[in-house]
Amino acid sequence: MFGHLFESDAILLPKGLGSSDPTALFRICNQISECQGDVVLDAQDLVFVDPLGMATLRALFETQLLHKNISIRWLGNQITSYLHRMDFFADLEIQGVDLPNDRARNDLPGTLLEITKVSEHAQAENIASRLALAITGKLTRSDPDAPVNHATGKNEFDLYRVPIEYSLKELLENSLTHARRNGRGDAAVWVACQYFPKTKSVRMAIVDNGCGFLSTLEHHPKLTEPTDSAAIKAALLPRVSCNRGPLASYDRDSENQGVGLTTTARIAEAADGYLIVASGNAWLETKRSGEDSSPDSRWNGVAIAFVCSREKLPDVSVPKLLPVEEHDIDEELDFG
Amino acid sequence: MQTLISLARSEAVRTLGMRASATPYRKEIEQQLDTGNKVAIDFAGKDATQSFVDELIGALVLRRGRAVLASLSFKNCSEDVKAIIKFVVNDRVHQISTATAH
Repeated sequence: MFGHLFESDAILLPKGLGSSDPTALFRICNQISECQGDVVLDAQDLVFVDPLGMATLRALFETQLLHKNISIRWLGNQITSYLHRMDFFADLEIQGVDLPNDRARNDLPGTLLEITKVSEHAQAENIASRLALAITGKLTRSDPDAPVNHATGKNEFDLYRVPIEYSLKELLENSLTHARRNGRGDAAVWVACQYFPKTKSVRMAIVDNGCGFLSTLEHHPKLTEPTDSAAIKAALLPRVSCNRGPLASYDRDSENQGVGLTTTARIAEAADGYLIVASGNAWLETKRSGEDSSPDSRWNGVAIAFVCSREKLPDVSVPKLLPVEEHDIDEELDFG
Repeated sequence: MQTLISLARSEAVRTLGMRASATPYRKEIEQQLDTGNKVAIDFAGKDATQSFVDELIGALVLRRGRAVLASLSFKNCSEDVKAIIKFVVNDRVHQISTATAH
């Protein structure tokens, strides 16, 4: 029955799957996508999967399972339990994984951080709010409903929540808007979040299986060359969007400003973190400008990891991170 | 006449973030503007992202021009929300000006 689990052409998973080694993660994704028959994954070395790894693999498995069987052998009990708790295997027919009978979850209701699929704009607001509330609950014990400081309009809980919720929603908006262009109306977005107390770091992943940056920006004047790497760099520039100005579809309901991704990268950096942005066969890390491009390492869509330090979140002022703008219209605004 | 439109309809959402959430409010504002009413938008208890504010207000500026600002007012905004509104409106007005100049 489980003979396929001993096939010699199994794909060996690395020790870690996630933002620590994006090239390895997307190489595995490419191998799974390119595999003509059923897929056998060997997880004997795998000990760590972060939100980027989890959201990416989940998105990939959902589409690949439509065409082929996937089995995982030698997946350790601890990581099986973790992935199970995060709903990674929910409604997926992955063979070879010994799932616990019941999910031993320590989370309280309202604090669950399970991997979440977003297919519709209408769902996104509430889902992102719920996730932001849940992860903030792991960053601070302060009361979400405590009275706010009148000068700032925020309480202590809000100081952690606002940059997280702002970033999550901008990234989700970005994915939902762009992923479904160019014939990819069936694309969806997967979101995963986790707080790692040991490193005091927050990691979130927003992954879509849509058309990717190169496809959406191929006619944009800021695209310096038709490569995935150039498209990612263009997407990170302020006011670059496939849906702003002359490139916007005026028959559609709205037009973007093209600053959401830029601002989110700045929020991560202000909180001592970074974004990893992957699309096609390239990825880029915003803080150190690290990047890689490899033909055998590929993500068909856009995958973004947001990493930041818990300690720095209360210092983040989102408005100060917006692109510089002349303010000659301010006097016409009535805040009375 | 002035109509007050409150953005506090969902208690579960503190940071209004998605364009899709702004669209129904914007349509309501447009209906009021079309009847000649002025509109006050109440942000009490809410933060907002640039995307939400752009869909709510920036889209009005793009479609109706800078003159629409004379018919709008913004109530109970935190300093952050004020700054985001200022950014969005200035960006869209400059975008219109640039497009017209070309």
